[in-house]
Amino acid sequence: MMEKKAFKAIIELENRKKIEVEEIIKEAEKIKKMAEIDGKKVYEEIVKKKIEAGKEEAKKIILEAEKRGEEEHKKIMRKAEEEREKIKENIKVYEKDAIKEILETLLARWRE
Amino acid sequence: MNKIINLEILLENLEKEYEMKKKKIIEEAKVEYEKTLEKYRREAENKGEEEAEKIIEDAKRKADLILRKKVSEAELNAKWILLKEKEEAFHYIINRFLEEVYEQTYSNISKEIFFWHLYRTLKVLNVEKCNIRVSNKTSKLVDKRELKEKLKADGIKMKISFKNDDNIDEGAIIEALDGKLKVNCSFRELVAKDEDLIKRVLNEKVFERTR
Repeated sequence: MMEKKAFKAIIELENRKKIEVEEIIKEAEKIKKMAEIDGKKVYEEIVKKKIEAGKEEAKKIILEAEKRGEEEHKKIMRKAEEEREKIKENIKVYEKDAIKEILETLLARWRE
Repeated sequence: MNKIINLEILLENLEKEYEMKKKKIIEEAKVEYEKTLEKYRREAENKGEEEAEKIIEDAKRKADLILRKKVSEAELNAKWILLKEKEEAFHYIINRFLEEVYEQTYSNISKEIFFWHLYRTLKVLNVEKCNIRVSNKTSKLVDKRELKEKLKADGIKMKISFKNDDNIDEGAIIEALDGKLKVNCSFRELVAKDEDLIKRVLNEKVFERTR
């Protein structure tokens, strides 16, 4: 009689615990499923963050190029202005030389 | 009494065993959760960096184009400015040249040029007779006798008559074949004929000269 009672207690405990384990397995499954959902979220967040950082970097590169472009533009135009001034000055200073050069060129061209 | 104690211990052990099993299942699930998250993180890092790299490379290409476009525009503008300036300078010098060419300072070389110009034109025309109408200010540059002698020495028989003409601004006009053929021989014409050559010379020796 005593043994029967003990056996019953064991069976009861086993059954109860098996149910608990099944619930725990379900909970573990939920955790695994959550891992997929959370993982995808994390994936999207990281990719988005990296892309945003890339876009920021790209914006900086473009701005830098525009800035450098402006500087180069100014540099070239400044040089052209200097050359232009030099031409104006040279005409004043070397006017007589220019006339002589034309005459010599024409003479060299027409003389036999 | 002992049997009861043994049963209690047995149940207790069984309980402990199941609790451990439960704990293990949960812990394993948590480890797997972390592993999955870590896997997604790694993949996201790679993917994100790959995408960002593409964006940056694209921006670098665009930046290069922007820079090249700006430089090309500037170079084109600069070239245009200088070309315009040189063109104005050329016209200014040519006008000054046409004013000065008949002055005493240059008379020797002007005379020589005009001589060769007339002589070579007449040689090419090779007509029996021609009339040369000369402007007043050019007249002093024309050595009629020397011209005739040079043609004669070269075996060119040509009857040439000279006439001063107030209507001609500068230079001379050679007329042949009873006026059907007219050749304008003037410094303006000479300069126009060799405009490119003169521009090249002026550019090299005057406009871009460094002091």
